[in-house]
Amino acid sequence: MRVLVIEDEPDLRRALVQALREEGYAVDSAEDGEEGLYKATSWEYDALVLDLMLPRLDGLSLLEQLRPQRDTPVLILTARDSVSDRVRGLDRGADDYLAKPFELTELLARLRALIRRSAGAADSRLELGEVLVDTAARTVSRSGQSVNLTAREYSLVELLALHRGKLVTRAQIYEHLFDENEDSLSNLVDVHISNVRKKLGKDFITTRRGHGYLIA
Amino acid sequence: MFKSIRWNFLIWQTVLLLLVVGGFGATLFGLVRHARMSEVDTHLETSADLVSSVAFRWLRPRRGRGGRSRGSNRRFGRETFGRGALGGDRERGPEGEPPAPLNGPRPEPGSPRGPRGRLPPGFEDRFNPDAEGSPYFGLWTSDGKLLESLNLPEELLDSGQQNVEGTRIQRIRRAGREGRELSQPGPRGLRMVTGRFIDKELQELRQLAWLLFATGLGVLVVGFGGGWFLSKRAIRPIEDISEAAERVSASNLSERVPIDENKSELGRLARVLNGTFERLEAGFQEQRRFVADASHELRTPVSVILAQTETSLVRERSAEEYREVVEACHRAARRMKALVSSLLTLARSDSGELALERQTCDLKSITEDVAVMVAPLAEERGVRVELNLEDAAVHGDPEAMSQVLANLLTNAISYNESGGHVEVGLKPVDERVVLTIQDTGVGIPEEHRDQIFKRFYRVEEERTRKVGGSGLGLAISRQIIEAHAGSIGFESEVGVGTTFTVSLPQAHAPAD
Repeated sequence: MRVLVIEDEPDLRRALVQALREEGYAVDSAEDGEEGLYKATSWEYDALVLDLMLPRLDGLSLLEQLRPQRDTPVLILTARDSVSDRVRGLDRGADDYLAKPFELTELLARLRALIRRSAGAADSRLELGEVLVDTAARTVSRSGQSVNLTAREYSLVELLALHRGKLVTRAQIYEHLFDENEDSLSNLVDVHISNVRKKLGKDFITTRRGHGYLIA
Repeated sequence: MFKSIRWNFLIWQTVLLLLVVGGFGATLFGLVRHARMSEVDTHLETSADLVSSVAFRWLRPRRGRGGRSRGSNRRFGRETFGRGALGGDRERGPEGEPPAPLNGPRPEPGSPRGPRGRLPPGFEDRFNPDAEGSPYFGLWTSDGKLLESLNLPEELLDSGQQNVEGTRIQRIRRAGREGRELSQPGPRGLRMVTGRFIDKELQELRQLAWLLFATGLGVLVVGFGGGWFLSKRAIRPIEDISEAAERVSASNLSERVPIDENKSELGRLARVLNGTFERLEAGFQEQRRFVADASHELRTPVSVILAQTETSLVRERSAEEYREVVEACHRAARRMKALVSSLLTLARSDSGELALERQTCDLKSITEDVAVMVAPLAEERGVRVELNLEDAAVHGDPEAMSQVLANLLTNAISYNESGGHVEVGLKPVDERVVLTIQDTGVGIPEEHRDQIFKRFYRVEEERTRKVGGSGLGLAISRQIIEAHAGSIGFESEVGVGTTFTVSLPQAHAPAD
C-alpha cells in the first residue's frame, strides 16, 4: 500500500516516513500544500496523512481541492485539536482526525482501518479459501500455518485481497507497491506474483492475460 | 427580614401611613369632639340663662309650705306654674294625648286654672324630661337651701351646694351618666347649677371614633397590600438582573443582563454590568487563546520527539541512525525551551512582574555583540549586515535590550533574500535614542500589518521556524520596550523591505 505524508516539520516528517516504510508501506512525502496536492492528484495513494498547518496551501484548502478529484482516504494529523477544528476537518472531506502529539501505534492502526474500509472490508481478517490474511498483524497463514512473506509480498497479497474479485492491473500494482523514489523494473511485479504463488498456491492469484491480476 | 429592601420599604411605608392616618383621624376626632362639646356648653349656657331669668320667681316664699320642697324634684309649685308643672306632673289629656305644653294653647277665658305666669319661650322645650340630654337645674340660696329644681340628680339633691365662687363648667358623672354641668351665681345671691347629660353626644363620638379607626385600618391594610404588590414589581428587575448575573460564570461569559429601557436607574446598572461582563469575556477569551496557542506550539516539538523515538525504538538501529534521532530530539527540545522561556517572560510582563534591571546600558556595544551572534545566520542566508552606530546610553536591562535586538535582527535577516542587506542605525536624537533596523527583505503585506505584534503571529511560518522562532519575538520586544518607556514602530513595502524603528529615553551618564 502506498501512502503520502504531507507535513512541513522536517524532523516529524522524516520520522513518519521511516515508521511507515518500516511498516511495509510505500511512502511518498511532501513538505507544503502545493507539493502535496500535486502528488496526491498525480498518483493513486491508499491513504494520505495530512497536516493542517502547511505553507503555501493549508491542509483544509488542499482537501477541498482534492476531494472533487480523488476519494483517497485522508487522515488529518494536526496540533489543532478543538472540537470545531475536528468537525471542520471531517466535514471538508477527511476520514479521520488525529491530534498531535500522538502515539505511533495509534496512527498506524487508524491508517490500517482507513485502508481496509476504503476497500470495503470491515474485518481486519480476510479469509480467502484456505488462506487467512490478518491485516492488523500483517501476517498471512495458510490452512492454519503461518506463511513467511517479505514485506513486499505481503503488500501485494494485501492489495489483491482487499480488492478481492476486482481486477488489478500491473500498473496499479506497481503504483501501490512502490514509492516515487524507487526505480524499479516493472517485471519485478511478476517476480513477486510468482513468489506469492509459490507460497500460497498456484490458484491463489488469477492472471488475466494482458489485463492484470486478481484474487477470486 | 430586616435586611430586605422590600420589607424595609413596606415597614416604613406602613409606619408613615399609620402616623398620617392616625394623626388625621385623631385631629378630626378632636375637632369634632371639641365642636360637639362646645355646642353642648353653649346650649348649657343658654339653659342657664333661661333659668337665671326666671330665678327670681322662686324667691318668694311658698304658700303653705316652708323650706325646701321635698318629694319629687320634678314638681314645681303648682301655684307658680299652674297646672301641669314641668316633669311628671303633667298629665296626659283625657284621651291619652301628650300633656299640653306649658306655654300651650291659650287658656280659654274662664277656665278654672290658668297659668300664673308665663315661662320664657323655649324653657319647656329646654327642660323637658324628654329633651335631649335630660337637662336639669338646681337653685340654692346663698346658705345652701335648695329653692327649686328640675330633674336634679339625686346626689345633688342631698348634697346641697357648696359656696363655690365663680362660674365654671365641668364634666360630671351623676347617677351613672356622663354630663356637663354649669354652676354659677344666680341673681340675688343664689347659686345655680345647670346641667345636662351627654350620653347621646358621647355615643355619636364613639361611633365616629370607631368609624375613623376602621377606615384608618382599612387604609393601612390597602396601603400595605398595595405597597407589597408595587414593591414586588419594583424589585423584580433587580432580581432579574441578579439572576442573569448569577448565570454568568467563567464557562458562560456570553450571557448578558436584559436591559429594560423604561427603568432608567436599573438600566444603567444593567449596562454597567454588561460592560463588565464584556470586558471579562474578552479577557478570558484572550487568555484561552493564549493557552491554546501556547499548547499548540508545544505540541509540534513533542510530536517530533515522540515520533522519532517511537520509530527508533521499534528495532535495533545503527549508531548513525540513533545519532540522527537524538539530534532531532535535541532540536525539538531547544525549541521547547525557547518557547517556554518566552512564555514565561510574557506571563511575567503581563502580571507586571517583569524583573528588569536598571542600569546604564551601552546600546552601541550591546548591538555590536548581537550582530556578532547573528553573523552565522546572516552568512547562511547570504545577507549582509551593516552597522552604523553612535554612542547611545539608555536606562534599562542589558539582557532585555539584547533580546530585543536579537529578535529584530533575526527577523530582518530571515525575512530577507539571498544577496539582501540589513542596516542597523543607532543615534541619539534630542532626549531620546533612536534605533533603526532596515532590511531589503520581502516586506510585510498589508493584511499582516496590524497583527505582527500579536503573540504567536508569524507572517511566514517557514521562515520563522527555520530560525527557531515561535512568533513571540515581536510581542516580547514590544513589551520590553514599553517597559522601558520606549516605543516601537515600522514601515514596510512589499518586495522592497522593512524598517523597524525603536525609540527610547536617553540616559545621562552619571556625573562621577
